Amino acid sequence: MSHVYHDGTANAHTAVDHIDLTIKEGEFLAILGTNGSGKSTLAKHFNAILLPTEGHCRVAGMDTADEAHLWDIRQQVGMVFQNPDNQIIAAVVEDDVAFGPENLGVPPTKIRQRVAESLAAVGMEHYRKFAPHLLSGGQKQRIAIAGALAMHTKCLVLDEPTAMLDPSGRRDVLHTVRQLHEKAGITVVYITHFMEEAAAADRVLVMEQGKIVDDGTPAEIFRQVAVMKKRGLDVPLAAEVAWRLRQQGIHLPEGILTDEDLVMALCR
Amino acid sequence: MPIELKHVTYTYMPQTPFERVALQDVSLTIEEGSFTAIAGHTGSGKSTLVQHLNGILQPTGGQVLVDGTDLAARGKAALTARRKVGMVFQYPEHQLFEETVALDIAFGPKNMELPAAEIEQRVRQAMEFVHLDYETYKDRSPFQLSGGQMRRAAIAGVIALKPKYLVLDEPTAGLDPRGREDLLQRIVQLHKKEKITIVFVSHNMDDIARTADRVVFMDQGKVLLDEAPAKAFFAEKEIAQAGLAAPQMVTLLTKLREKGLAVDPAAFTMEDGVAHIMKALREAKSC
Repeated sequence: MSHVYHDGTANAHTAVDHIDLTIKEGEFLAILGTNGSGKSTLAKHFNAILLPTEGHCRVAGMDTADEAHLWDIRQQVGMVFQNPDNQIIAAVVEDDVAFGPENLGVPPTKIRQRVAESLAAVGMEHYRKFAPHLLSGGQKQRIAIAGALAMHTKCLVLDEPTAMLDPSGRRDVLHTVRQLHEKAGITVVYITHFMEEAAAADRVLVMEQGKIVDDGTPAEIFRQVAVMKKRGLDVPLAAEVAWRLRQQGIHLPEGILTDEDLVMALCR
Repeated sequence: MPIELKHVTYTYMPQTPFERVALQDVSLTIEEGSFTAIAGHTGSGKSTLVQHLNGILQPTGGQVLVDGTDLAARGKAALTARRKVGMVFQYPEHQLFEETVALDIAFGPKNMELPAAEIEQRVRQAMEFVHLDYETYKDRSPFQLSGGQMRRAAIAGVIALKPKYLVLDEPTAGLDPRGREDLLQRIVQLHKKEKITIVFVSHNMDDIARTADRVVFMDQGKVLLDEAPAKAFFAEKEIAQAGLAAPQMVTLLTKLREKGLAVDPAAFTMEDGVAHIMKALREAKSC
C-alpha cells in the first residue's frame, strides 16, 4: 500500500511507500518513527480517513475504498489524536461519549448503558456530568477513548495521545490503554515518540521515509541502541543503561526494558 | 535589570459563573542571564503566568515590571518593554502563515519598521541559529517542512525580533527524540552565546535537568517550589503534588538504592548515571 499526497502534481510527496503489513486481532502494536516518517498517514488509513493511492487497506476483510463498508469500518476502528481539545465536541462528558452511538442509531436505553460502561472502562465514571473543559489533558484523552469504546470499537488507533500531557496524565492514559488491551482484548495501534511507552507494546514497528524498516518485539527493537539513535529515535532509559553497563563488562541478561527489569538484574 | 512579578493575581472571566482564579499572589524575579524552567501539571497556571511576561495578559491584581517598566502603563516605554520579551507559544508552527519561510520570519522585523537590509540580515541569522540553511529553505513554503523544521522556523520568527528575554511554552512537545535534542541544544546555545535570558515552560523534567539553572513548580496558581534543579528533583512531596515526575535517571537510581545498591541518585545524564552505578557495583560487588 502507498499514499502519495498531491498525487500527479509538482508537489507530489510519497508519505507511505509500498508497505505490506498485517495487524492481528488482539495485538498491541506501537509505531515509532521520526516526524515526517509516515506514521500518522499510515494510521489514517486504518479507518478510511485516507484511502491508499496504490494498493489496498482491508479492515476485518473489508476494503476501505469500498464506500458501502465505510460506517462498519469506522465503527470497528476508533481514532484518538494528539490534541484532546480538537476531538471533544459536547458541553457535558456523557453527551460527548454518547455522540458516536447516537449517530449509529442505537436506542436511548442502550446508549445510556454503553456510556456508563465506556466511562467505567477508562475510570471516568464519576465525571459523567462534568464539562470537558474543566478536565485535565489526561482525563480528556480518556473521554476520547471512552467515545470510541461506546461505538463498541474493536481496535483503537492512538496517534501520539500523550504528547501534550503532563507525566501523571501520560501514566493514566497508557495504563488505561493497557487495561483495555489486556482485559477487553481491544486491538491497539499506538503511535508515540516516547520509547518507554512503546516498550509496553507486544510488537514495535519502526518507520523511516514511508517504509517499514524494522518490526519486532520491544526487546528485539530496543536491543539495537546504536541503530535506533542513528534513526533519530532512542531506546528506553533502562535499556540504554543496561547496554552501557554490558560494555563496561557487567554481565546482564538480554531484554532489559524497564527500570524494574534492571533493578531485578542488578539487585539479585 | 530583571523581569519582576509583584503579587500577581489573575482571574479568568471575573464576576461571571465561570470565574476562575488562575494565579494567586505570585511574586517572582527572573534575573537577567538566567535560565528558568517553569513546571506544573495541566491547569496549574504556568501558561497563564508566562503570558504575563510580555503583557498578553494584564494582571487582575499586582504588577509586572520588565527592566523596571510596568507593562500595564501606556505609551512608548511600555511597548518597548514588551518587545524585549519574545514569546514562543505551544505548537508555534500553527502560527506560520506566509508563503515562504523567509517572509514568515521577516514578518515581525517588518512590523518593527526596520530597514530592508537589516531585516534580511536578521532572517539569515535567525535561520542559521535554528539550523535551517538560508539558501535551501528561504523560498520554501513553511507548510512543506517536517514537524521539527516547522517548529524551528516558527522559533526563528521570534529570534529575529532579537528579544532580550525569550519565553518558550512547551517547545519540545510532539517532536521526535532527535528533533527534541536538537531544539534543546539550540535553546542552550541562545542562552550561552547570545546571552538571552530564557524562561522555559515544560513538564518534562529530563529536559529541565539538562538545561535550567532554576526550577519553579506551579500548583493551583501558586508557586509551590523555587529551587536549583539539583534540589528540586529530590523534593518528592512537591513533585507528586505538582503532578510531575523526577528525571528518569533519578527515578531509576532511586529504585536501585531502595533495593539495596548504595548508589548516589544525583545524576541527570546518561554518562553520570552509568558512572554512579559502576562505582556502586565496584564498591558493593553484590547488593
